[in-house]
Amino acid sequence: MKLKLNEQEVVDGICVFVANQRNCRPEDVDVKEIDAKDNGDIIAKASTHGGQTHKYDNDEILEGIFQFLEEYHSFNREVMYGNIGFTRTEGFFAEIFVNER
Amino acid sequence: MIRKVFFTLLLSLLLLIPNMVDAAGFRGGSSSRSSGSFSSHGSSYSGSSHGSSYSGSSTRRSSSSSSSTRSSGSKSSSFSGGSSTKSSTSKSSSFSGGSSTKSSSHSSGGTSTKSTTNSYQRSGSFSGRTSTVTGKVYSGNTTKGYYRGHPVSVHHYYHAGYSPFGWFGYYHGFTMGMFMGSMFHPWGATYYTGGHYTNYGPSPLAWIIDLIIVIVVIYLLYALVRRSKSGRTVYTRRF
Repeated sequence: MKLKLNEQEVVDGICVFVANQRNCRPEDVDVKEIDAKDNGDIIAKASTHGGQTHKYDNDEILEGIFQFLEEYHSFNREVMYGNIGFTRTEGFFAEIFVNER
Repeated sequence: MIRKVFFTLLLSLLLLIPNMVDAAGFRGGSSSRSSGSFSSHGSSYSGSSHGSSYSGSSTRRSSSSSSSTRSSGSKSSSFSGGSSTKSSTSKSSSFSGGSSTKSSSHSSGGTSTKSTTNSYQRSGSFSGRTSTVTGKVYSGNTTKGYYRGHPVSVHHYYHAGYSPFGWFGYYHGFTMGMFMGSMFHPWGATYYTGGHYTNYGPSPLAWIIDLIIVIVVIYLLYALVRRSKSGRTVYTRRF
């Protein structure tokens, strides 16, 4: 199964990752911006409770999406893999493959 | 990472300590000499580093013509040693060696004290064996071979006594770089104080500031590399 997640779900994944990392609620995470680099890297900047902004790279964003799917949609973390990307028409997105190995 | 940095600092300190000890002893020697016979000469630095025979000649010369020494001679080449005394007559050739200096002083008709001293000390002839070879003497060997159809024989002559390869040369390069760096450093240990060079000893404050500058430079390089590797931002979505 292949899931295509839109920009809002990518942001949700970032929020879940930061919340799990910093022991707070995902609602307390404020994603400031997401940058697309010309080498394919995607950097997200987020803070909690208006504190210091931290950067999160591709792997961390993808890990956050996995955690989001596991915790909120009951997917099995072990059978997921995927990638995140950016196009000017679609914006930021994520492709997650479940049970496709 | 931090452990590596500390190990590097420790290693560099271990390399620095012999230089510090050396410099401290050197400074003490020069100060004690400057209180001695040829303190007015201005060449205490070279006298302490070269040898006792050298300093003996310079004292005699300073007693014979002390006025000319102070007036013009010692300014340009005080570091080169006692030959700077006679540079009132031969300014350019003071550093170049014993023979030329001696001939010029002869033509100028110096005092008898000066000429006898020079003929003894600075004749330019081979004064004796300066180094001895111990152990097995390498006599060389001849290799026969062919080069472009011709039979050739290459004789590998004896080497200079040390290996041209190895790691020890890097130690010498490092220490020479440290020494020359201390000379060229704006806060370095050796100063030109109008006539001669003075060693006030290495400054720990300059070391600390140098260390800070080095760390800043390394961080700037690291940031530059990280920035160039991270790629250019093509799109930014702000929320």
